[in-house]
Amino acid sequence: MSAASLRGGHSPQRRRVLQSAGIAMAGLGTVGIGGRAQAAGPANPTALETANKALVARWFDGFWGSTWDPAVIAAVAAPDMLLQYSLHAPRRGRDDIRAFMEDFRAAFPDLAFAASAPLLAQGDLVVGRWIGGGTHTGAAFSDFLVGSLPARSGRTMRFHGTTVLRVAKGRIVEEIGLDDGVTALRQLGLLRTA
Amino acid sequence: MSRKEDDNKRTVGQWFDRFWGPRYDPSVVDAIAAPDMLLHYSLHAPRRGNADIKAFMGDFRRAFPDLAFGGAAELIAEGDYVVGRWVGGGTHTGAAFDDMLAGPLPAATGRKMRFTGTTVLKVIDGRIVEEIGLDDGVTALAQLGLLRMGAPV
Repeated sequence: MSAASLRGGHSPQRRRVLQSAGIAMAGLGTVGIGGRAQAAGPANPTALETANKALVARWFDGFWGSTWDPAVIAAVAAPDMLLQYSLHAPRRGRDDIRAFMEDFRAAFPDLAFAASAPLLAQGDLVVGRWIGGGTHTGAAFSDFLVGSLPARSGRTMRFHGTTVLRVAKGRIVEEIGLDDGVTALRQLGLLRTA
Repeated sequence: MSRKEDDNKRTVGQWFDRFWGPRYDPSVVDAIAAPDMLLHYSLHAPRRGNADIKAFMGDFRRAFPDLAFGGAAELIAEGDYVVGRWVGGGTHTGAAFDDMLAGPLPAATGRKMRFTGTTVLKVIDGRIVEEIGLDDGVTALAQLGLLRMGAPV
């Protein structure tokens, strides 16, 4: 990134963001999320950002919350959604994303993450800060990049993270998150300090 | 986006350039940091206030003289908050360094770190009052030889 774009301003990329925000508005209208979004029209980014936050809040609740609702994937995830967290290999598409979460919860049945600060939004991007974890009382788990856990290690992880999500046409198309992996992996016994 | 959000992005852009960029300019701390600014990254202990923040960066650059971070995506702003995604690092050719929570490095290990992170900054009246960042610490600490696979022995 150039210093100019670091300092903000309406770069070509920013203009594309604004354009896709307009497209996303139209999509929100058709799926009926947020009456304000439908009424405000595509020229009002604030209403769009409000609708995008509501969508992400629904996703965090149904996908990452204490009560897993697999139906949230068809309702909220774009068909080719990218899910990428620093602890795990990236996943692409609804089936892959559902498999990711089913495996994660089979290993950590009490898995639950929740927002630790209000969501922030600009254009088609929403930023979430969160905290959570779970106890490994279930199946063996091999989806951490650094190593595998045998079944029922009994270890508890609790850590925080920050995630940037991109919304287009009323669906989440990208979720890229950074986990506090040092904390999580040390708690799980997969890493130790030298 | 409001004018305030544009202004906040410019403030954070200057901070990233002059505090975290390849050429450190200590006067940026007096110019842009609020007097009681909180600086908190997951790899390091939190720092508070201009003198503490200058000490943090002085020590970091004495250990990693080529330290440099830059933006990896456009800044995101809402209200008082600006979110930056960044990438960077440096080579430990300098002084011993004991400011990683995971453990100390003896002088000039020659190890190189390059990692990403995401930072949320709060700006009030053109000054940064809070900078809270998450480092990809697994990557950085593994590169520095401060992490090992497996449980404590």
